[in-house]
Amino acid sequence: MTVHYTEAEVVARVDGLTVARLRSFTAARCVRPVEREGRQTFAEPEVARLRLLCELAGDFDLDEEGAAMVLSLVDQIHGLRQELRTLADAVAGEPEEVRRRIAQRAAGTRFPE
Amino acid sequence: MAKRDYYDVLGVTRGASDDEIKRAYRQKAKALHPDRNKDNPASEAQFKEVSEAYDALKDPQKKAAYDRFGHAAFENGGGGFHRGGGNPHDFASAFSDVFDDLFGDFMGQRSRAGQRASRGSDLRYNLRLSLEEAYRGRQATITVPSSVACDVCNGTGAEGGAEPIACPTCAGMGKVRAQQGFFTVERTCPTCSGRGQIIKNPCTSCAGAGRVRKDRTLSVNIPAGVETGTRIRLAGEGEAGLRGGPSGDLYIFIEVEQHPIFERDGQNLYCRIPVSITTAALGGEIEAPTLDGGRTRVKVPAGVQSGKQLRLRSKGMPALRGTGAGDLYIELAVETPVNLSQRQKELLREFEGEARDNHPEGQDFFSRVKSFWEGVKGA
Repeated sequence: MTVHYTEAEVVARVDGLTVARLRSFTAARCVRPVEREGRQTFAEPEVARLRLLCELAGDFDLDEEGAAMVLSLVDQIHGLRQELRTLADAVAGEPEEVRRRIAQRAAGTRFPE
Repeated sequence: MAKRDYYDVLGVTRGASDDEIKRAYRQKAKALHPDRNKDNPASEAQFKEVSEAYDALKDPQKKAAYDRFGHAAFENGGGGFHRGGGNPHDFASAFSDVFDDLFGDFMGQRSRAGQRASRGSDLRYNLRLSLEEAYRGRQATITVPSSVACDVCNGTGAEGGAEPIACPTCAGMGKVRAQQGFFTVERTCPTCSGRGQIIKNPCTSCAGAGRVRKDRTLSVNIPAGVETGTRIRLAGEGEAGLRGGPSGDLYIFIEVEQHPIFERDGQNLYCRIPVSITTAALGGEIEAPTLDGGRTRVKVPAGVQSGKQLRLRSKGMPALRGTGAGDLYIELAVETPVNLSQRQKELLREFEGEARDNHPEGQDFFSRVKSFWEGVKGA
């Protein structure tokens, strides 16, 4: 069963996190709380995200907006990798001639003469 | 049949210089010109093929595109560029919004939500003109199949012109977020297809699109001096935007047809005119056509040789949106008489008997041939 933590519990578990900072990250949609029994709660993956956000802020001297941007880019790289995998699967299903042409075109785009 | 490589068509290598390409084109064009090949119907197609290849390779931008993508560089078709809207069949457009996705969060906007009222697609229209029309310019009436704002809903897509409401699934963001373990991945909202808004009661006339298909007739001013590849932009005459968004633009791509008499190279025109051997030898006047439909008398100097070009200033193509014009080059082709009468033959033999240093080119050539043979023997 997924464990959910209250605001106070999250703040206690993550170094460098304050209630104000937690609410700022929530407003920036970096983490998504789930409402339970009238309270905002956070699942374990969200706590991990908050931990990374605070580490980014501390280690790289980023403000909350900067840390949120880095996390968003990490998410998007993950999403793009998925898209690329989907595309690669689709290409892999094509006949060899089509795959060869795509590879040639890709090589031409990457290394123009 | 597969289209031939442009370099093969002109008979040059891929690394050929501009001059080599131009020289190869002129040689091929001369040899294949329909006037010289009236008995060979295939020559016209070959002539067009050569002209098309030269059109592509003489322009540095087109040449670079051809070198990189081959014939695919010019295969735009007649559809449209589909800027903004995104063509689901276009491989590249699948990633066209990558940068919007990456940085949209930090630029004060959500890219998908920004598509509520999106700009209409640009349209392309290919217009063929004769060389005379390109010379004079013309008012062209064209019919463009395109989308226009729906009259019934005023382009909103909603019944009775009502405003769309924010999509309840994505709260107007156009995207929904899904948790994948540690990561949060955004997906296009399945309810509103990324528009961020939905229409509760779609307009029955346009099925909620806010625009309908309709042929539009436009009058377009084609300026004098256009050439193949000239692009004329008519702002706002493309497809209507979605749900009240701005219209796209209409691009008219000009294609100028080959002319049976005149050949064009940039602003200059070339015309090959046959002259009799007597006119070539004694000098005289010939009548040369001009592209404006007129004629002009041209003085032929005595002793002129075949291939000699005479320049008529400012009788070429007018400058596009500028002043002045190119030149018209008359290329003389000395014609050997045929079907000679007995008397003509006698006169020519008599002329031959009297000939003294009358053929300097021939004499020079044969003296060079003699030296060549002597050199071969001595080697």
